[in-house]
Amino acid sequence: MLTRSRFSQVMILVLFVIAFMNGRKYLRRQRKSYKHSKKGQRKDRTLKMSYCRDQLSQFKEINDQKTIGFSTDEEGSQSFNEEGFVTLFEDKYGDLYRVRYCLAPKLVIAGRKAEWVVGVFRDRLEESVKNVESEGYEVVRTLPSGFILFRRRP
Amino acid sequence: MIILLGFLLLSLLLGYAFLSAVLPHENQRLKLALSPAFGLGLSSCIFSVSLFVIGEATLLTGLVECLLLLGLVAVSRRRSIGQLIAVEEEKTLDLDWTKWTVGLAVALAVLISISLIGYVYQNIAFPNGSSDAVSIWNGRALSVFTSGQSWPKSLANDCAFHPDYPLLIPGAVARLWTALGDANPYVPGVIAGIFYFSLLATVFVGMRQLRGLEVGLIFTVFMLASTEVTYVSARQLADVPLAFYWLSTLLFFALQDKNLNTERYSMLAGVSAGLGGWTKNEGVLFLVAVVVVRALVVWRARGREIFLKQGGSFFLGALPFVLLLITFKIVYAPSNDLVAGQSAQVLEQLTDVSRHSLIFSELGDTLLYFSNEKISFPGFLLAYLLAVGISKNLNKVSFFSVVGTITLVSAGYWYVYLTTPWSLAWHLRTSLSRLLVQLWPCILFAFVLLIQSRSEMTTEAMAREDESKSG
Repeated sequence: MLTRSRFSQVMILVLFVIAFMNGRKYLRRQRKSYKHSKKGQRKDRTLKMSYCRDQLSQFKEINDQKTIGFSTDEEGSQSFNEEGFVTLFEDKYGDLYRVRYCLAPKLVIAGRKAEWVVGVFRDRLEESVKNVESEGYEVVRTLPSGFILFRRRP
Repeated sequence: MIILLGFLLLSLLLGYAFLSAVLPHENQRLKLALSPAFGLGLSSCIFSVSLFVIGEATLLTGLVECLLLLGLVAVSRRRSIGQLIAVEEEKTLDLDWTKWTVGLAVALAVLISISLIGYVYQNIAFPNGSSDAVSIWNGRALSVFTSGQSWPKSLANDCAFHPDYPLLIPGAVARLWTALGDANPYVPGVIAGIFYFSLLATVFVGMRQLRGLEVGLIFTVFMLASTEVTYVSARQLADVPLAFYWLSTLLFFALQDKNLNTERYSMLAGVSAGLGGWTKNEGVLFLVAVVVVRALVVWRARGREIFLKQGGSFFLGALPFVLLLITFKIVYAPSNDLVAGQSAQVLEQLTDVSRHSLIFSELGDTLLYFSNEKISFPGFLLAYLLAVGISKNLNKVSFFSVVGTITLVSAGYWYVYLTTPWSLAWHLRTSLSRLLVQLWPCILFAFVLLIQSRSEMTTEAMAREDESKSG
């Protein structure tokens, strides 16, 4: 007869099998994403604060129009907090991929959708634009830094 | 590279010296398992204090750490007379090794290797971590590292997602970047790895000390089988360091319940809970929950005098970190986005049945298929418990402390979800599994405290046999 102690050993062996299955699946997933990034299909992200800061002059005009604010090293102004946010990271390979979600539609507090938003994306640009357009925004223009300016569709 | 290793070693030594100063007679292995994460936490706190006092990231913190290390070594040397006790204790524990446990250990080593390889893959492919790591944790570290005196403004404006989060992880990263003089993208991955493997080591050594070798090994396998924890760690999120500090707190309380002649474990529980509070906002919820639960459980089980002694030690341990957190929240941190977004509809949200049911169904799905969408891991745990039964030597004070804390923290999460100003479905989808990662080691801890070990089963069977013979 299978004693309780023996049964617990069997259960532990089953646990190991589950752990190996989970581990193998995890490893496969990580290897896949690694290969994917190596082939350049998914671009790597590198912290490049200084590069982005150089691009901040792009926002001057927006600031002057008082649509949205931004803060630079030199001057503190109204932050993005109220409308969403932008992270200061840039894709080192170009602007096909971005590192962060669109600012507004999903992250903006319900009932307080911003009129103007600036977004950087981690998905493919065209997909992200499609998503944002489906949320009632339209692209105003893209900026060389990779940021994209949207406006709520009238 | 040498500078990086030097500063990492300094943190490790600081953690070890701190634990040795408080617990000179403790099992060396437990101190070794805990010291990397404790050391990183303490170094990060010193770095944060220097940010508050000097106003910018500076290498002077290395000097302060060295001085503190020397002081702690002096204290621990004075208290090292009882070291023999620890050595004898370790020898006794080594007697547990059998063919079965050696087999378990070998299989465990394979699992750890899988976990390590996956971790390295992830960190080479995504050196800056996932998007949350980039925008919250490493982004804040970069703000502190690059902004000089204007770091508070930079934190508030450049990293505007959860701008009020405390600075343990960003501080640990920025400290090493400051030492290197360069924002090396692999540093956050190294720090996340230290926390994850320190968690695994603590799970094994801590449970081995409490329940014996075999239960320690099983607890570690349970942790490794939960690949979601590994995945979140490799994405460089703060949830695993938080889980480490929470588990350590509960582990210290369990050790406290076994050793009533000293209150030092309660003090370390306070330190650990305090470091958790300095890691993430959820840590504050845990701090409150654990204080409430321990107060109720210890007062009821052991009386007022012991409660006051243990409570006082806990308070003493947590105090420096709570003060650090209060200073940060009052002076530097912008308002919390969840709190600031609260509307007058909170009461309506709290009584909205559809919100409750959405949270319940999402929680059920996430919990049921945590780490494996085909086999229900919690279902397996339940089956295992039914098969082996409940331990006859269950320490009820420890067990109810863990379960009560998990319950209160979960209730806090539930409340936050109910009243979230964001879309509830989106909020659940993007955070629930991570919240579960934070609690998972504590849930497993409660589980392994509860189960009957094989040695208990054997003793029970032998006693029954003797009884039947004499009968």
